[in-house]
Amino acid sequence: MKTDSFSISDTDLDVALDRLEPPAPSETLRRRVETMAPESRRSPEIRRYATAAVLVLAIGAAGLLRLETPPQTAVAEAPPAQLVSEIEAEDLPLVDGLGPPERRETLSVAGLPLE
Amino acid sequence: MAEISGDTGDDDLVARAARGDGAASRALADRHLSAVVSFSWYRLGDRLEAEDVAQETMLRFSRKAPDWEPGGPKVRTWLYRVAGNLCIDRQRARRPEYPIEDAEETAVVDIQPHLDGKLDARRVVHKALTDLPHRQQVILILVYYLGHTVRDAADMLDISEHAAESLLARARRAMRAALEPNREGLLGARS
Repeated sequence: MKTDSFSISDTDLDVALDRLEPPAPSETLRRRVETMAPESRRSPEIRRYATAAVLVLAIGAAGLLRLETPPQTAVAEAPPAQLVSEIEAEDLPLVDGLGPPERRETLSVAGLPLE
Repeated sequence: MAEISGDTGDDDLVARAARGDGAASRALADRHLSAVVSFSWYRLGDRLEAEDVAQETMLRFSRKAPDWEPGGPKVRTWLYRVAGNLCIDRQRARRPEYPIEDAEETAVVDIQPHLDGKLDARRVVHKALTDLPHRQQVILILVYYLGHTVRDAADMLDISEHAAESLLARARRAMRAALEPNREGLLGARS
């Protein structure tokens, strides 16, 4: 069996340990802690609803923007050469309220069909 | 709403505090803040740090309160666990993985006599305490300083009562070994 060979007895150790005296909490800390109100049970739900509402708004706004942008996107995607020399038939002015011709043929700048 | 008294249970106070009862929040602070500050101070040896840890612990508790489940861990146990983890974080931040060159010198300075020739007994004891392995430190603080029973401390440390007794004995033996070189100064410095 292991024996201790310290000259410090258990009583001496208690005397040494008793030298440590912890501080009392400061008044500032006490005031801060006493005014810490637990978060309301509802607050996480409210936060979730708010986040959901923002998401819906953001998605809606993105959808509206997308609806407005397709023509610009189509133009931007067309090759520059085609824009200069060719006009889509459906872009020509309509006559007598008729709709655009069903057959979409590519015309030259002069309005003549290309090959 | 019922009056708050010394008999009002912690779980009841937490439930009331979670419903916005300011008196319950104050009662919880009155009941536990001092112990959390003491616990942190014994672990860290620095009053400001101990208060920071205590404040953070109580803040986390106030966030936890709405979800507190009665019949689970005791409030005090929960607080000690959180404060203990925060203390460990601070102790790790203080001790770099590769000790700086001054570390050894600092340790020597810690046990040097005061200018008046008397040993700074408190610093010596505190250093010996904070140098103990984590669990030995905790059980000594809980049982010796904060007055918990070995059984309570065992519950807090999630170990058996027998293991807690053994751990406490090892902690005391380690303290005696650490204080041995300064025996004369420590016992001679009684006041």
